Amino acid sequence: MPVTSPRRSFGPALAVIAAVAVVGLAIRLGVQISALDAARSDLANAQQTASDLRSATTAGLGPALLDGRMGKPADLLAQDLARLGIKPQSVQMVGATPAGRGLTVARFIAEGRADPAAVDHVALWAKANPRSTILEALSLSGAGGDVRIELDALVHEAGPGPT
Amino acid sequence: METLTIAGICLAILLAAANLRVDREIDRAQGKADAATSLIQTRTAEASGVQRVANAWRTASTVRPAGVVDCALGAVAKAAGGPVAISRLGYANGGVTVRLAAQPSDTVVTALRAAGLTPPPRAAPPASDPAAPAAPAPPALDFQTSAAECR
Repeated sequence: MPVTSPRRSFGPALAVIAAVAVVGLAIRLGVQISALDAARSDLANAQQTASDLRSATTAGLGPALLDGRMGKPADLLAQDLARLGIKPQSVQMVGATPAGRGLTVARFIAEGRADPAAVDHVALWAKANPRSTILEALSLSGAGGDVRIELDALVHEAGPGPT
Repeated sequence: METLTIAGICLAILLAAANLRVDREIDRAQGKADAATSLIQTRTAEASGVQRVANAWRTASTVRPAGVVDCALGAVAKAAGGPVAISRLGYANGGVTVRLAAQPSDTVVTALRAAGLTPPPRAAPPASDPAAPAAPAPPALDFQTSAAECR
């Protein structure tokens, strides 16, 4: 009776298993590469969208009129008004709305004394900074030139800004 | 046959390693995509908020141009031919009202009208007593203008 070598009997089976494994793994690799391409494409699109959104946010409002890191916004505004010829007696921030990028739209009410020339300076100053301030209301009355100014201004928040 | 089998096994091992490597690459890319998606959500909310505030800002800036104050004061000075006393000045909702300290001459009033400053409309007499004699017109000290009217 002839004796069959175990090596000879496992040879074809092993070859078939190896061939099946190679084909299967090659197919799987092809599918994976396709999925990888899709994932990279999605990533590129997402990064582009994020970049566009950042540009849109950056182009929104600004520059800030007052830098909250340099002091209290109301005090800074009082200094600006004094430079324009107003004698501010009180400047109060009465409201604030976050505007992104570390900016806030703040509403100020300033009261003091002024002459028409100083009021004109304030109006021209607001006109020259339309992206940073809006003159909401103004009144000048009385013999002493009592003035009340209500304006919105962009304020850079005191905390660290966005990176 | 044996050589081919061994080569096939080696190729299978290489393909398996490549499969693992590509799996990791896919995971890494998907992780980055997830992070980017999260960033997009954050920035979308931020951009939406900024856009809303920016639109409101632009609208307010258009409706309330501060230059009308300078225009009105300049028109008053030009109409009077020099400095003129003002007892009250008001600016609100994009309009300016000026109250002169003294009755202006007809020439000044004409010049003010030409510059776009007009007296505010007078209140109508009460309807309950239409037969009542009309009250004497107050002196025209008040003038008003807006960005569209001021020249």
